[in-house]
Amino acid sequence: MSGARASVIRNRGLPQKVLDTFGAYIRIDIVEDWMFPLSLVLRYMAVIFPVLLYFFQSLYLDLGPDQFAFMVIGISVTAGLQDALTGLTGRLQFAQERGTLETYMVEPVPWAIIPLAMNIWRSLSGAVLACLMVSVGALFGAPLDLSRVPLALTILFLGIISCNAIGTFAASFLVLFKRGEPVIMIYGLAAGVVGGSLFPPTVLPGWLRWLSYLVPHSYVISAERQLLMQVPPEGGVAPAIVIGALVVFCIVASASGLYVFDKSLNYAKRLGILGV
Amino acid sequence: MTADTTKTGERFEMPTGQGPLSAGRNEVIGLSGLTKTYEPTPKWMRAFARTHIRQPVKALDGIDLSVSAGEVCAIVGPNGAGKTTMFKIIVGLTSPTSGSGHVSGLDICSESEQIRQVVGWMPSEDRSLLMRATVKENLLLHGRLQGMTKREFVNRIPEVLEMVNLTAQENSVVVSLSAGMKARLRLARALLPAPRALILDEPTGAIDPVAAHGLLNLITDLVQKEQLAVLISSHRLEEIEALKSKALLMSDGHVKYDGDLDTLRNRWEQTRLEITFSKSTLAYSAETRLNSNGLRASATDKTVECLLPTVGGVGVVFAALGELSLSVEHLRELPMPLRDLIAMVYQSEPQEQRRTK
Repeated sequence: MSGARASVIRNRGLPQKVLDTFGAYIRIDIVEDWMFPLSLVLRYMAVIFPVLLYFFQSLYLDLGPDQFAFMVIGISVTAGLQDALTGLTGRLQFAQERGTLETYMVEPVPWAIIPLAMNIWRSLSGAVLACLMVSVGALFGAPLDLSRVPLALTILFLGIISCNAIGTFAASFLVLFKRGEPVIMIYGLAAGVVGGSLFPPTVLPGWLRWLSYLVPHSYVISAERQLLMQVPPEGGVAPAIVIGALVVFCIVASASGLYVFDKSLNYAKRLGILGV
Repeated sequence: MTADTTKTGERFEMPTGQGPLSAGRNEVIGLSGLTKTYEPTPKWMRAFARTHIRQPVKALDGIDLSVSAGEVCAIVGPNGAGKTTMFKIIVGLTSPTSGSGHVSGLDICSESEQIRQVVGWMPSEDRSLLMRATVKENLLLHGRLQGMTKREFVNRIPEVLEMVNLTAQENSVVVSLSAGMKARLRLARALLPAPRALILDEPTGAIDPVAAHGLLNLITDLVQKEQLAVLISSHRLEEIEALKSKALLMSDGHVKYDGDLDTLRNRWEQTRLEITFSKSTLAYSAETRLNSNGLRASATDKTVECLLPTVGGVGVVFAALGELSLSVEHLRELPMPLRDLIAMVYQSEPQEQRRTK
């Protein structure tokens, strides 16, 4: 047994703290997933069914393989982004209601990065889910061009970061009002309509179409179709423009989301409602 | 700040500045005039979530506290006394309305992130642990968030597990541990980054008396060996007494008593005398006689319990008994239970209306 030790304040810069926090939470999420191997397998197996649903629907309506690919890419990206969007508030609310949030917050790391760290693994597994769905679609005959997969993955990851940034606004709402679902539910449903997962946003009336320019879903889905479909739909935005738009969205939304989240935390701390 | 080098070779900064109360003492935790008022949430927020308080609630009112290295301070008080609020302010989970404080020279308002590195927090409940992970994984998660390096883990995890006697359980899943072991794991987690101060919130709440006794012995040893400043809250008053610690008795956000328990006893204790007679009739006669002489006595079967007068002591009791003292078979002093002693302190001033926070 050691004798008395000097108190220490470890000199860590913000990047090191971010790395330590992200590393710690990713590891623990892996441990948790590993503890329930069958539920992990079932979660990934479940994605076969929505693909089958649209496969048979395209057969029934005689839509053809290109329309099947169109829909598979739309639902896969939406499913992948959904995890990034809802995971953040889901984990935070679970910790808040279980009474463990304060345990996380007594760690010497900036509070604003804790929910993001909690959601990294979930976001990554969402990306894997999207890839798996597209792969299943390909197995069922969706004609896909796989030569531009790396660029497609880059756009998917930018979409995930964007959704995490939107999630921080919902998390701010959750910290102050104890419920984050209303924000995420409204946004998720709106993104389903205007994001173009099953139809192109050009179908929408003008007064509704402008909303599609505000949600990252529409950019990501459109670009993925341009990159992965052998016969891409006309009128899609060029992937380079999408990448530029998403990068700007990520920077602006992440910075403002973290700022708002930090302010919410400090306000909740002052009111004494942080962990309740 | 000065630099220090640990035995693992890492170089860290160590705060040397101490708070204003620390002159001449190795003070680690110092609070001065600490006040916290919980305000109802603004009206615009109530559209989203209803408030659970309608009026401002003063949870802490001018709390002064000083705990030095190697010292344990027991925080005692009923629910709603302000204990948890005080702990939360120290680790930065809520902010004080007024007053100041420091931990190891770090300001509780502006340096709470650094404070969380020098304070080990042992929450009252097991749910703060990752139940499906192993003992080691729990410590690794906490250590990483504390900024510990791999080289530090190699030395420190076996060290703290040995301290709390959990070496054999290093690779056990937490859910399989007994309540006492889980409590020791929570303590190990608090000790992992070599803190200067420990905050133990009801550390023995969920464990049996034998395990609680062992845990408190462990804490007492650690306080001396690691020179820790410890704040501990507990509803088990016999445990507080066994710690031989300084005590802060709180009620409705105020400090009712601040000092060691011996001084508290000297100041407030009213010793009782237990007198046993050969027959119950003699005991009841003695009760009548003692009460008629202005003493406070009550008889049960063959025994009379009498409050010892502050002046005169046993002699006054025997003088009042007269010839009945010849029939006394057995006599002993009954120390006042800490529970009664503390109740007397609380009753010493009119109680304010109990708050519901």
